[in-house]
Amino acid sequence: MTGVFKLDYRHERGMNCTTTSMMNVFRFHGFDLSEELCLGIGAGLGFTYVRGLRVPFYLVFGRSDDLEINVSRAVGAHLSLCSDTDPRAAWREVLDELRTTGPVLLDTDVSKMPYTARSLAWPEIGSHGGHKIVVTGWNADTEEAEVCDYLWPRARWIPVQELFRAWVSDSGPMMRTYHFWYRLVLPGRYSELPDAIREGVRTNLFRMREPWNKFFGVEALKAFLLGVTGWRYSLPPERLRVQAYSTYVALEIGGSGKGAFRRMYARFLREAAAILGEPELGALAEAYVELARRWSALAELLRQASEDPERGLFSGDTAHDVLTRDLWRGELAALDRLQSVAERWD
Amino acid sequence: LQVDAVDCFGLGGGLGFSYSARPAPLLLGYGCLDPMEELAIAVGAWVDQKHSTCRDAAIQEMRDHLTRENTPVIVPLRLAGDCEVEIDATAASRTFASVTELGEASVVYRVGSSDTLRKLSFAPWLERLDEPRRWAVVISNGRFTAVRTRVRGALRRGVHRMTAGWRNRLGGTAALAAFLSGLSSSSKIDHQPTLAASAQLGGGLGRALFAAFLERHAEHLPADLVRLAAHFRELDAEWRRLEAILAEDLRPGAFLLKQIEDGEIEGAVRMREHLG
Repeated sequence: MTGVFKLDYRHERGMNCTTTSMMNVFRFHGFDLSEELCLGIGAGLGFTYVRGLRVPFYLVFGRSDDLEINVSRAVGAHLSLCSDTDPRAAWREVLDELRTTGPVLLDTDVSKMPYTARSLAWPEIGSHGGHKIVVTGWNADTEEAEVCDYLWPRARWIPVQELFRAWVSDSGPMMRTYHFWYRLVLPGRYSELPDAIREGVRTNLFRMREPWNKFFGVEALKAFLLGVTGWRYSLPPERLRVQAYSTYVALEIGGSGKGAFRRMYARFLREAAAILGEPELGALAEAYVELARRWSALAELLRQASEDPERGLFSGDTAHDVLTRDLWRGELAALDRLQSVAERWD
Repeated sequence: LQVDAVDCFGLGGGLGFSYSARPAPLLLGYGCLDPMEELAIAVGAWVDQKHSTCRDAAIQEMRDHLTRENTPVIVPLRLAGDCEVEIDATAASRTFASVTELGEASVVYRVGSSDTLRKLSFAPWLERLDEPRRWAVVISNGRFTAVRTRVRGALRRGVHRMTAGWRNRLGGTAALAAFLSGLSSSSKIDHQPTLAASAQLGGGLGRALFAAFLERHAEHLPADLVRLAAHFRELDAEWRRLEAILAEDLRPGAFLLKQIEDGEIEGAVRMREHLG
């Protein structure tokens, strides 16, 4: 590919890197999905609580993984992960995909992407390789790529060498990336939206309630919510401070749409209620708004603790234990209500 | 979870058809592009695709996984006639191997759907790795999706893929029409890929497997849908007649080709009606 190649791609900012990328990519391909529908159809409601393999910190995240694959599958498309050990070889494949199919999704390290790292003061321990960006153009003369990141108001041209640095991640607690990109195969006709929504909710319920291991879904929620106030006993002060801040970022400001994705999921439920004609989903949306408020309150207590471990969540106030236990019970009750709606679909 | 060829086809590959004449002839009797991932998602498991930085790193990481998790690792392996004699050598150039021991001297594994444990010296096994950096593990907690949900979901996806096809590539009924039209209009076609694709599915392009899938899960499906099994058995017989003609390197008659095309379309349309 020589000269300048640029797709006629409309980038819209969003709340989360993956949902924003999928929304914009599908819009480019003629399927108008909101960011919230991408989250719900992609079975994105989730929870992750896992200690890193190489670093002594916990990764806390309010979403499930594989959202991009789930949403693609549910709408009738197919998304497959590709990689190459040589960034130049991988980049050639990306450019071929860009020319033949359209915008290309890449996995990058969130802490190495310019702007994202600075704007969020992204902590080193929150580094992970699953940060999605979309490549939409290429200037072969200057070796610059046009890239869209969910936080940016518009696409930017960045030197490909800078992109290559963010295209490898091996330092974070999990989610390594090694020149990963995605090949998208589109269907001749997309699935019916109601079918895709039902599929997403069913998948989400199963993954939340029957997680593969204790680090995901309800098992992870339970471990986190019933144990987080006890971090003050298990972590030394400086590590506690860093852990509190990174958890605050992950739950509130780091691409979760605030409230550990529950606020965004509530909006998905409202949309789903209208599309499916299921008022119970609309009522359930209010329950998720309330859960989001509580998650935000918990995140704020973590932020305060990151400034001073004697304050906020680790101050010893028993009200904090009440908050986390109520949150745990509220999450279970909301899942039960969602399950009872989904059972009627079968 | 017991998964045999019938469920692999019904839940994994799914009803469908894919065809591409170039760059190399490719024909598949199913509709999805990654049957292993599709099967895992359908039953509620997860295929964790690994992309190691190099072959040596992959070997080490696979050994670490086997020691730590004690569950098999899956690798693409080139087939060798002297090692896997029961697999039709014309059916595929590679298969997936499920490795349970990966020692310095030897490797213990199963190939394809065979239950037979095989043992091979490490060096020749390494030579047969098709993509040496790529491997996968299936992650499950032993609890699976409800049978009714998974069966109906797979059928809905299959019907959609069969009728919608894929954009910018041949899939579904459009691919079927292109494939059959090529058979009737040209005598310079290599039929081996077609025969191999069908042989991989037990002949009849797997339509008998699909019929068995419908009958097996009858209690979870509308009766009219289950009755379509007879229709897919007829299609199985027609595909087998076509395969016999192609094996003789003869040109098939237009009537048979039309019967197959109409039958496949009718099967998908009636499935969609009965699924609701």
